[in-house]
Amino acid sequence: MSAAAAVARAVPPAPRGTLVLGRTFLHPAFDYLLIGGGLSLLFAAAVALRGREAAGPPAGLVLTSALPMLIFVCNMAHFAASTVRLYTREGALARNPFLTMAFPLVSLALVALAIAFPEKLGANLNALYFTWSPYHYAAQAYGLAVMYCYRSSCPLTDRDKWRVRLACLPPFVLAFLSFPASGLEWFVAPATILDNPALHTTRQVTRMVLIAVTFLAPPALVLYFRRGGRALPAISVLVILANGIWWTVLPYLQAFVWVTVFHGLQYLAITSIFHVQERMKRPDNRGAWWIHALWFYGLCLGLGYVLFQVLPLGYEAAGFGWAASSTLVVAAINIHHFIVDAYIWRLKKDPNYRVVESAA
Amino acid sequence: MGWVPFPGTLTDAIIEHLKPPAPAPVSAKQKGYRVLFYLGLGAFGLLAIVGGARASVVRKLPSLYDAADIYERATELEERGDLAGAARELSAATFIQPQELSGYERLGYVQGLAGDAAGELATYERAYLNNPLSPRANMILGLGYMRRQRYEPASDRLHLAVSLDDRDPMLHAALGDLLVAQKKYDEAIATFDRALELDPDESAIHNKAAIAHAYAGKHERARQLFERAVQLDPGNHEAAGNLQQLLTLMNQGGQ
Repeated sequence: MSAAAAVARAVPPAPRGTLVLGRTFLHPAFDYLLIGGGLSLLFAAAVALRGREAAGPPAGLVLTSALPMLIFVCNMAHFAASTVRLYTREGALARNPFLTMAFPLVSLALVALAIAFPEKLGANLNALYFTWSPYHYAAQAYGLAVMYCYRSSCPLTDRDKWRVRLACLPPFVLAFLSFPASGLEWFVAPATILDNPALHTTRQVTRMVLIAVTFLAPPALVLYFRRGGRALPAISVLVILANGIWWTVLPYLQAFVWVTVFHGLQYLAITSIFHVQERMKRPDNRGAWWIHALWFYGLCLGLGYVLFQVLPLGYEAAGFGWAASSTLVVAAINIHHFIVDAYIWRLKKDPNYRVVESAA
Repeated sequence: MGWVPFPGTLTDAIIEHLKPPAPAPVSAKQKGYRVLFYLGLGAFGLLAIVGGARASVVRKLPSLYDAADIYERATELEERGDLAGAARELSAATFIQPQELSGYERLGYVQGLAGDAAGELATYERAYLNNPLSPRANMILGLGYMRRQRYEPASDRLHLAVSLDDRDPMLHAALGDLLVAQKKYDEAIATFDRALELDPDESAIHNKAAIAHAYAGKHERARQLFERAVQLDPGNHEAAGNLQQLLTLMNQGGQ
């Protein structure tokens, strides 16, 4: 057997057609609903359908009453998950010494400065958080889409990856142009935009175009791959579409609240899978998968509670103002999460890749 | 090397084996990172401990997205009469969350209580600059101008507020207030009529409409409106006081 033939046998052929189910981590239903964002689309559909009915409380209202609990179990835990994963990975301290050892102190000091000077620093920290959030969600959609491509033996060239990235970016640009007190409005006062008709009109028209592009990008991506004789895993398309729907269908405040809940669910699911698979592969592993999963989630929940609920009070007890402490600690946790995420989800030359490639 | 019994024997080998391995050399950079790590851990632990202690004293598990949360201390300070402290808290809130209008309204109110009229107007102007298309931002700035008797810009802002949301009775009522201040009573009455059409159960609007009628000399209609205001909200002491004054005036033959 020649070397070429051996390679051809070792590498599964790229799937053909338009869309394929792809290789999921646990079960197609779990992956598509939680990681793919299918659950969020069902939620959006339920809100839309119930909203038209005269009788009965709208689905959104029912879920809104459960919001504090959902924020506690999904949102707070998800922000803590990146930090827990950072420190529970093997060789984390050696691989990222600044991030693991110096960055916590740097972060705490920067938050203190921002709280002490809310007008000059705090306002900018909060604007940075609101501006970066939609980009972070777009980046997560990109990362998950690419991850499922690799896992489903759909090879991606650099050009392909750029296409996937471009398909993920419209919701971020839309949010940049749309949301108050962040993005464009961080740099140009809203009254100035309004006073400049050309700027105001351009902004409005671009937003309309971006909404259309957000919905057109996923099918365009499917067609691009189909033209190259390859089929994308449907979950990769679903992740991109779900992120687009989050930022276009839901109004501003709801978007920020609900997106973080569904994004948190998505994030906790994938992070737990990676954590459990790494632990199970250790030669000295003695625990069942669910023990690792529970331990990981428990740590995330506990750290999330301390970060969001206790830390602002700590700053207040240290003599800082409550309004600034309670808002800027949240902003800093978000930004810390965005930065840590950029390091812990690398695939190239990273143990993460083994998990992506491995069977469930 | 210290004393070793039976050198060169098995004991010697065991002692060598039990010796801890020589630690790997640690670079100055690594030492620096370790120091920073322990400082960070210490600072975090300290903040968590004092925060936990404070949590047990002042609050339970709050909702993360409850916007009212950030004004909690400002309210406490205001109740204690510390207007400067409350203004500091509220000012921070408006800079960090410039899109939240309730922060500006509360800050302006506290500045007004403290006699800082210029600061109050500057706060309302900032609310408008950050939210130029918000009817409420236009309204609070318009009312701010009105209180400083700058009727022209007040009229611009309040008319814009009403045009941005014609269905909000409080916007019509605010415009009515301005028209009363400008002594344009007939226009004010028409504006309050529109407000009452949109919200016929609001005691405060009945009171305002009654004042416009009283100034216009329509005392009987004013009396009806004051009575309705008190009927809708028996706790509306302003309306009750106005009604008493009007009745006294009417009894004195002012009808």
